[in-house]
Amino acid sequence: MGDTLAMDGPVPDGRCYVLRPDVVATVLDHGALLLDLESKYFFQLNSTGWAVTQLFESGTSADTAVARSRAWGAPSEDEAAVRQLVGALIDFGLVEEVEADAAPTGEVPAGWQTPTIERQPQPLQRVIMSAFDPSIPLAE
Amino acid sequence: MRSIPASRSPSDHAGPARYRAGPLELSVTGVGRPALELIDRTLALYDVAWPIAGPAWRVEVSTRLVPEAPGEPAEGRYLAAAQMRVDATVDGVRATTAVGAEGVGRFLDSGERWKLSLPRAMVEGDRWIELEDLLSLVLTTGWRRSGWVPLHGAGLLRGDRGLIACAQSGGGKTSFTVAMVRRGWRALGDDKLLLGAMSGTPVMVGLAQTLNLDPGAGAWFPEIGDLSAQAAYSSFTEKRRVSIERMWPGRVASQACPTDLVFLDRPVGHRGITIRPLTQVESSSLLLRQTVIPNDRALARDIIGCLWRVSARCRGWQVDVGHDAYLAADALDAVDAVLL
Repeated sequence: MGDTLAMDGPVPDGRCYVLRPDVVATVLDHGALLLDLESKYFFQLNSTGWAVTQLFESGTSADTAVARSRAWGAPSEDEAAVRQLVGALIDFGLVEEVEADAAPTGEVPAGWQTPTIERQPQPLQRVIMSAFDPSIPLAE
Repeated sequence: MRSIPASRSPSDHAGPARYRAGPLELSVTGVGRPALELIDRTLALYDVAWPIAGPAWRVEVSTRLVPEAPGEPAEGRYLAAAQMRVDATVDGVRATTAVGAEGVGRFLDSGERWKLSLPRAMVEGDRWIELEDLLSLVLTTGWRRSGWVPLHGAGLLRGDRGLIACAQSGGGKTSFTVAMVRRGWRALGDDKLLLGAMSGTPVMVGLAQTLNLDPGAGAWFPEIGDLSAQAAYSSFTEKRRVSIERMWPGRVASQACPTDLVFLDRPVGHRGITIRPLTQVESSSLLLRQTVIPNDRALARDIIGCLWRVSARCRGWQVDVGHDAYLAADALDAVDAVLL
């Protein structure tokens, strides 16, 4: 029901990225939900998508993410999916560039599956009716 | 479980006016009529005796009239509403409204302390909706900081089924609530709920046991009668406030464990009432749109976590309601059959 990461998008280069400070992650039973407080979009990650994304909490590169994924048991054919996930984080504006790779070890996911990220089709309203009512105001 | 009686004791000029609003215990001091009357009318809405044990969350509100807007307008970095912008400050939040009313809230360990400054332009321009906006901010801030998520939805209970019904403003929550109450469900309220958890189990609690009814609802529900002679309850709506208990004795409830999420829609040309299941992702996505999520990382994380846990344990349903569907006595048979 949302936008999934583009399968033929550009593969990120060796630059390092970190999650933007106004991206909020809520850990769920089988992954995580990201809310970009700036764009108001929600993003749903499966458990391995979240494991890879967590590496970017301290700053890292797509190459490091691929290396960690291999160490977690990712088959070689999923390298492209990991790079595409990182590409989606960049394309969706969830990460920003940093100088150094913190080389995080991350948390080993319970079992490897192809990582996914899905953006919910509609963002939350930027301007709402009132502090209680999230409806869009009639004048907007 | 201890029941704390709802209280309402408007100011007698000797001390602050005191109110309960869910887990909040509010004291209000300052300006005289008509501001205090509006505050009294607004806060008196929250008439549910808070059913959850624990100390009250204390909210002090002092109000004053000022000649002009007291400072620069807020930018809306924390929250942007139609008539109000809110920014985070070092120790709380600051809000300003379109005509320059200001609310400065200071966060304390077990409550908040608010100073509301109301400019002459607001009073003379009859812009009381902006004071209602500030009060809404005072309440929602207190509810969130005391561990509850304010939800824009109706609550219903029957047996062990707890139903949250959501729709856009004007999308039919109240009509659906009335129709369900007439079929034996009990109502927690028609548009304001608090969601939280007790011993790890999600719980929803009602805040107001009144319904905000369109005067035309009597055409569908004859026992309501003609409401047009009553005054509208707010400056921005034609709806009238009706006590559930007075209209349907014994059909109120104060809390329930949510089991089902219903999302109401009124598609053009739809006939009757139909119900179809939603996936968990669909219902979660819809539920997350029924609350206000301020631009605050910790708050946002708590709110999203709470709502996701509720949606994960609930069945989700899309209910489409046709024009005048409630005229048919059996209109909700299919909905009841699925829910019960």
